[in-house]
Amino acid sequence: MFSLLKPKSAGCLRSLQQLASIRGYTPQCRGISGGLPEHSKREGVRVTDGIRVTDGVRVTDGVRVTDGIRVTDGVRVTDGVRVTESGVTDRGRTLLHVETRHLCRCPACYDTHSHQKLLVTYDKELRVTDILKVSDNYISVRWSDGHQGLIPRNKAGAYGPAHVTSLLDKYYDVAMRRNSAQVFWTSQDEQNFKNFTYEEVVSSDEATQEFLAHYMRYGIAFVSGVPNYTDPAEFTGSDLNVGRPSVTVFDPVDQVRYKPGGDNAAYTTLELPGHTDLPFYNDSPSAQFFTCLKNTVQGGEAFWIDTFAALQEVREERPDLFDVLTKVPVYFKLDPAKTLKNLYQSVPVVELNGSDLRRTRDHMNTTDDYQFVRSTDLETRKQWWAAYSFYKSKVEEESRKITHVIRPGDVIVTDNWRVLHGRKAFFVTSEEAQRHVATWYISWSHIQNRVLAVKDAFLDLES
Amino acid sequence: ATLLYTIKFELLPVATMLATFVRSQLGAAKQVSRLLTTAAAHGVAITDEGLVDGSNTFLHQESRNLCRCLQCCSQYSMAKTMVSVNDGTKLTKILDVDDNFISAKWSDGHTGKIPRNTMAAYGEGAGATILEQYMDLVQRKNRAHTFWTGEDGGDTALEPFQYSAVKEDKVELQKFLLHFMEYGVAILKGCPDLEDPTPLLNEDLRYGPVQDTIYGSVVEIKFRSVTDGELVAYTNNELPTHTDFSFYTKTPDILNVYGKKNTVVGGESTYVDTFAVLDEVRNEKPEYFKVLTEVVAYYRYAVPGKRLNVSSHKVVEMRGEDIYRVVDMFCELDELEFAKHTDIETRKLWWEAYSYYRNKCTEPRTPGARRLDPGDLVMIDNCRVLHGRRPFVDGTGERIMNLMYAEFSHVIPAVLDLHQEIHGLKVEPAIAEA
Repeated sequence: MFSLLKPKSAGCLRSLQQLASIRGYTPQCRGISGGLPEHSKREGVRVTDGIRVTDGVRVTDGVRVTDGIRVTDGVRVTDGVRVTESGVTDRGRTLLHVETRHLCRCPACYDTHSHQKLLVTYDKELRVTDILKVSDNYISVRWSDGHQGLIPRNKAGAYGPAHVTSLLDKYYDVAMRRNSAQVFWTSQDEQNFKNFTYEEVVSSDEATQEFLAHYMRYGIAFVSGVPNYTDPAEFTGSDLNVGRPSVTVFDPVDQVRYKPGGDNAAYTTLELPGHTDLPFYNDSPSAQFFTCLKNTVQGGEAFWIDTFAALQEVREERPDLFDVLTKVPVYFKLDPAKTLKNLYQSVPVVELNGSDLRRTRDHMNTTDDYQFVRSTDLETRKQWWAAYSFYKSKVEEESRKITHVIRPGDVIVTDNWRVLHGRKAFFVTSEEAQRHVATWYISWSHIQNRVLAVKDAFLDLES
Repeated sequence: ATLLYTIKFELLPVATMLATFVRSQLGAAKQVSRLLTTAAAHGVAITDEGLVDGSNTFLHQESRNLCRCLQCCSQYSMAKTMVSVNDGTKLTKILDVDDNFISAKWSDGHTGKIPRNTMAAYGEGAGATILEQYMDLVQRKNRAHTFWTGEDGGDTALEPFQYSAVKEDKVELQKFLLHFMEYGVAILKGCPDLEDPTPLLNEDLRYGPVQDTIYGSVVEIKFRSVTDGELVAYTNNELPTHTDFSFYTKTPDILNVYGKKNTVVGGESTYVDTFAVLDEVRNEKPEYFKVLTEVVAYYRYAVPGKRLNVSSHKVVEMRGEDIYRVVDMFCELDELEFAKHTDIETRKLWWEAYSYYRNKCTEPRTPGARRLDPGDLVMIDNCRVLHGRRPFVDGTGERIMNLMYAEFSHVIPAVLDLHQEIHGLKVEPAIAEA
């Protein structure tokens, strides 16, 4: 790329640099050496050495520059934007030719109302041929297919006005589940155990967004003082406005309480080891809400563990074992007796998205060991057990847990793709004593939409 | 007299005791011998690593986790109530072996039963048979799929079923669902005209409930004036084939298209089996295939004032050697974020790979096409089969359809339960007494 920018002569090089200084542009190519005389940096200054510079700049020595600066030798440069062999380089970032065409925001290529692309092209020969104009948010270009359009230069050009982009700047990475925006935790602290009050959370859109963003960041969030709704999902539907529960083979809002002969371990008084829910689903649901309706038993403290923190340690200390956890599928099942709930799935414990930890599926009580043995060779299983044991030895450390005795009015939202939840055993000391929790799932994307979407977000193609 | 006394009261009891002892030891030895013979006959033995049972080898902790006694496995939930991971428990003794279970003792003192076959592992009756038949399809293994193109197998994939037959006959209903799992698409014709089509999934076809999206539970798609349009689907333009909701972190599994009205000229629905296409790419250009399975692409959906969702996915998700899921929606690609997070060389390669794959998707031989008639319900695997639409002529009529989304995992119990009903079977838990 840089070879294309190499002018014919040293005099030409100096010309480019001098022009850039005068107009406030920074040369994009490396290798330009030589300083500029001080007086040349003032606007309107005539510079000698064969170069004359005015406001409507024109430079000799084979280089002509006008308001839309154009430099010969096959390189077009406009306000720091240039067309290269690969595509268009704007402030150090290069968009490939095909990408520029897909990014065109003109009404012929990009629907003004839906903000969806109307054009698809896989033409490898397509090229940007001219840069016509550069503004703060757009580059006006012409392509080899003759089309003229607009490429966005930034979020404002891509998404819309300032209040849209400010939200995106604040919440985009955490909404995308990027590990860089998440806070991994290895013990209970003020932040991950921060208590929001119901009044605080519903006081404004901004407060709701910040609460949900806190949940996305830490994988867990606590609210107290939530009204005792007949349908607990009213909190998510009406108060948070993140839609209706995702429906599974369990009820939309599952009532978890002691039931002799219940078809789920959660309906017993036994300890529930830390686990994620529904690993036997093709795609397990993400946001999980718990609310306490009654708790008059002894024991039964709830606890939560951040698997991402533990997995990050595994990745650093034993990358070989980490690799196994991301690759070897484990088998899960749900087949309670005499019910119509039969689900089977095989997935790795750890799912990556690029290099980011994306999801953990970990529920040993529902693993289908028989299928695992039948479907996976012995050596791979030995490696898997070594890896899983190493991960488990970390994730079961008591010090990692957030613990809490949940009370009526509490709502806890956890990231079922990241945080394990569990419960100590409890004791029913009288007939009336009961531990009654309701739980339901909400799509991460519905929460994301609540955090990111705003009104009046049309593109301003003039800016 | 003294001698008689000694013999009767001293030597004889000792001799009796000795004899009893020897008998018991012989008995125990016989039992051990019988056990060893039985175990050997069944091909069962304890090794350093764990337990060998015929062609299966269980590691020690696997054998412990497999215990099917009432203490270790809930007879109600069939889930383990105890789990062994890091406690070093080892299998120490085989107590008995029969056709279905190995009675065993472990170093933690527990005695229990290890299943030897699918029946013992999953349930009595024909539980084994049901699962043996369908496990590959349920797990989305490619060896249970039939890949197709418009020219090759598309007619079979798009061969319609009749609603009246599926509604009345469980065998036909199961065939419909299995066809969907095998081909990634299934068409049902002659569905009733319903204002709310959700009972079709929830009740008639049994794989509900319908899942909510940001559009609600049922999305109406019909031509709308530009000022109302939120989706490009509301226009009469061609819709290139795509999967839905690429901008969702978790993309919906099944798209169900219900035809309500279609009087336009043109507008045929098109379908592409990406697994067939990707299989070709894998064979012809393995380097391109690799890129599609490794490089993360970025998606966004930003309807001004209404919606803003962002996500990132690889175009192709693998599970081991199986192609598992495809996410492919051109008009929602976020090239700016892609450029921000991915170096240029990787992106160049990705665009080459993606173009190669997409050009195959659009070759005339690849897509199947069918007109969507009123009363049609098309069940589409949104993780495998692309759907699209040819343009229709504006002003020639109306084209209205409803979209609903469902979970793949909910098809599984429908298929398995139908099998039980069809064959009059009852699956009972195989929990053994301790």
